[in-house]
Amino acid sequence: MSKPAILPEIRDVLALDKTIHEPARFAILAVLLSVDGADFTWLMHQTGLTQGNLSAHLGKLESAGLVTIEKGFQGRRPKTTLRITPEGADRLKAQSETLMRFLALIDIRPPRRARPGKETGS
Amino acid sequence: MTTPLTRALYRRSFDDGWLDVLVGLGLTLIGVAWLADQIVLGALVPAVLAPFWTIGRRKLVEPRLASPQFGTDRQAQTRRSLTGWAIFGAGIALTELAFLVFVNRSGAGLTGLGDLAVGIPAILVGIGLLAGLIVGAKRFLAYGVVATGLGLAGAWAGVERPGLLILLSGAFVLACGVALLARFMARYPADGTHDE
Repeated sequence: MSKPAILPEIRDVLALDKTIHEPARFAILAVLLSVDGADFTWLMHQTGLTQGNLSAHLGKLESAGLVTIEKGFQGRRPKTTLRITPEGADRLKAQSETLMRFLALIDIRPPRRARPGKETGS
Repeated sequence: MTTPLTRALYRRSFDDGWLDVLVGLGLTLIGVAWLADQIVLGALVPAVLAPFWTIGRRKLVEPRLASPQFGTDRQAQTRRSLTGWAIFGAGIALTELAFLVFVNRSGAGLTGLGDLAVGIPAILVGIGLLAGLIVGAKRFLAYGVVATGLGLAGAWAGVERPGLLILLSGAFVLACGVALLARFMARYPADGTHDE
């Protein structure tokens, strides 16, 4: 007996890239996509992740070629600059499109005039 | 790449209060200069304070929170908006000047409007403060309303020195800026920078 064909949207969502799909890494990539470069401390405060947690996630993203980590100094202070790679940007967008196609199947769409930075919900 | 998230992050990068402190301090000093009949000195205040923007960011903000690099597109867009706002402000200033000249020359028919002159610098300050909206800092709308209100109230109450109204507007912005900066410094301690 042959396997029943599954909807392409379901097939695609099951094949989501877990390196990107993990919530913290998804947020890290989204923030890095929105700026030219970010300092480690700044990214830590924007995502609310702890130093160790952020460091671990960045290590995974760097290994996958999705971000670059550049270590240097600003005056006497060490400074780590983080950037999303072109591949990271492409994969984040592709992943987001897959998710949106899937969510559209269950009638969930982003609010039209959602204003970033505002709390939502009750 | 500029996304809605870029705009939200850019807006948040001005929430530390340093911009408010500098603007408030500048207006307060301009007000003091006007009260001391040293209007020319007051005109120099923005040029004197401008370098402190970078100094304050480096000494107060970056050691605590660091900073992101927003693309050249975003910075160019802000520069264009500020230039547009300056031209708009200059246009309003010239219109008000023309109006005052007209009132002074036409005399009796418009009695009382000349008294409004005392409030005009503060009203202009109020319009100028709205420029803070360009970087998304909505509190500058409140500052603008307060300065404009002070200008109108001062004219109505018969205040004779425009410098006093500018000083009061500046003191209000400065107080708000100090409160925001104090909150920022408490939230992000000086030794709060981390490295991977």
